[in-house]
Amino acid sequence: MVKQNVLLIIVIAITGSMILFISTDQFQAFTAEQARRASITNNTPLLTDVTFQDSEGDRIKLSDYQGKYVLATYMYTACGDVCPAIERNFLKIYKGLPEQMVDDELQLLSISFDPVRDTPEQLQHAEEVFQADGENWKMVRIPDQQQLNLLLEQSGVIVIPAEDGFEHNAAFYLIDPNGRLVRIFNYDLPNQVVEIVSDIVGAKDG
Amino acid sequence: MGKRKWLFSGVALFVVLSLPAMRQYLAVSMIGQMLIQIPLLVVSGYLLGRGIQGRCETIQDSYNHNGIPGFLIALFTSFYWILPRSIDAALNSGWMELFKFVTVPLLIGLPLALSWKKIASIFKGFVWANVVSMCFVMGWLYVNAPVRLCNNYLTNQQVALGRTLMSLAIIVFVFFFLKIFLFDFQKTSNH
Repeated sequence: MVKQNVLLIIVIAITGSMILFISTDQFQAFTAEQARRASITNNTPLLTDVTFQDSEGDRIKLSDYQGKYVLATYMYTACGDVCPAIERNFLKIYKGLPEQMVDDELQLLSISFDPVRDTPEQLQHAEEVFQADGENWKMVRIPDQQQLNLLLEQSGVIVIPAEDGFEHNAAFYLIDPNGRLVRIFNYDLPNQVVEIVSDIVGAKDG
Repeated sequence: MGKRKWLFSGVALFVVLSLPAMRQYLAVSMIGQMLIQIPLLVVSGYLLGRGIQGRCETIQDSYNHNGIPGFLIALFTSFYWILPRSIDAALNSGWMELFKFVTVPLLIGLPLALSWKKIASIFKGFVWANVVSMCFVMGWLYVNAPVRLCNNYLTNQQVALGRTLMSLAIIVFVFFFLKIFLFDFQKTSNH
């Protein structure tokens, strides 16, 4: 064995592991999606004050919910793939959270990124299908495409138009009473979302 | 093939891969990027390595005596470019794409060319065994992952890549199986 050779092996092994350690956020984030979630938990970006339109046709600004937490998800009603699963899980969360919390301290929003097809009538239909009450849980669209794009970008949602709809990364998003995005949850673990959201929103009072 | 020809073909392959039209074409699909573009970049670096082989024997003899240091550089760089996160980053940022075009040939292909012959054959067998099983596991993961691993690609591409990876793993496995148990084994039993 040559001395330099052995030395070099050790140096490379250490440097290589360190680079991998750093570039995966301490072996936590192997995909861009995981990295995005880790970064949002650390940075809590302030979201742009977009204007929504609900199923009644009324316009609401995000800042109207100031003082309340907002739990949001992105979808489009023509989606046959993952969105129905998301909305069913959203219903589980809606039913799983304490009633008083949903009434007073938390707003649930299903935000459509397909403002062309998701008219207020269409949203109303979707509310009926997924048993959203249209009050504490609203289905909304963002009529202004520019605002929509900005919000999607800030939330880290990449929407790719596909053959007969869109493909998008799915999750639940918790926005705090100051309009900051504070948490992103997996869409397929509704019970966990109920637990954590109850804790966070409940802690505000105590 | 003369050293100059190795060198020339390596550079030529790299230039073709860096043409804007080619870059765009291969990045459209996951298979194009991960199973054609990146491997060909490795090949271009490998050809370069064959071209410069023998020019730096003294350094090679002391620092890369058993080929392991060069192999480790290639291994760690491959690990980095296997991360779905890095693949996404190379698509979202021009700098990361440039980084890919520099590191994949120079830190994977080139060190492999300089090291592979020096590596002991038992270690080579170990590497192949791992490559085959990793390939299969990665493929299975891509097919069955409940989430989209790359935000820039559609899920059906992920599934297609996974199936291709699994098929490749099986082909390589069958190749080695036949080679070892039919041909090599016969050779040894004839002795």
